[in-house]
Amino acid sequence: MFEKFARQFWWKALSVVLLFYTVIYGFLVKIPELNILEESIRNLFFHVPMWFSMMTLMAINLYFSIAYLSNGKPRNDVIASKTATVGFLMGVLGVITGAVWARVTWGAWWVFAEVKLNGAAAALLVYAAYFILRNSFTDEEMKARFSAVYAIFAFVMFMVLINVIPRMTDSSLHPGNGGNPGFNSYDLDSHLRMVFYPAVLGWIGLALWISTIMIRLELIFRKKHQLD
Amino acid sequence: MKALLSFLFIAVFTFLFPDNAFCSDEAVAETLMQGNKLVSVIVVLSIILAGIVVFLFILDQRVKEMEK
Repeated sequence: MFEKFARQFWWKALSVVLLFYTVIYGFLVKIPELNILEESIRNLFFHVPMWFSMMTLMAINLYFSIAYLSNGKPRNDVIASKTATVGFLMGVLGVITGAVWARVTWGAWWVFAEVKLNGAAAALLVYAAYFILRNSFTDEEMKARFSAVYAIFAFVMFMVLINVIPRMTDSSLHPGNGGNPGFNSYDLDSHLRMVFYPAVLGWIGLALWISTIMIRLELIFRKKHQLD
Repeated sequence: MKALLSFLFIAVFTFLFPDNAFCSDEAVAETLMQGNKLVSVIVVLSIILAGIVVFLFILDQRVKEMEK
């Protein structure tokens, strides 16, 4: 099923169309008049989808890690590791776009008292540890098995750090966290939604496309060198 | 070729919608994203995106050939 999906063209073309729509119309769409945020609200079409992409890829990483633990197929470990790599990249892009946004609206690249920022940094470190753990093994089976177990822990930590703790405290500056109203309360005429939802699908599609290419390349390499 | 087509698309788009049309009102026009600056942002981001897409498309085709 994965192999068939990876070779299909339609979802890649759709992602590209949605991304061009985001890049072009995202800067033209009428936005609500918001204090402090002003034009920087357009970063919503880039920053938030980056994190959604990371969450999607890490969920795939979790699924294939569990699949590896249940059937021991090396292919599942390859899919899990490559989706984690691209997911991590999307997380880094999420931090960078977030830092630029924070500089404009909060006056600093990084606000250390902001619980969600610290959670994002910690989540990236959790996944950085995943790659360090993988590289510390020379035995392929041990590497796959240990990293699959760790991936389950990492995903739970990721969700707690990004989605649970920021909502439980009152020290977050992020919309929708720390008692702040979410963006949906600002976007009363749904202009932002018209770009935001396609942007989410487009960025996730792009991240999946990169992942599938990396996975296919790794599978070809393993087949050529008879590693499985 | 695809990057060039993308650039041409943007050029035509900006020609059809002159500078003032990009900004919904004066309050918006006074802020960062105005006139030519906005066009530049869109063109630059589109070119970067087109570059990434072309790179991925070529890579995808190469991988497909290798899989055969």
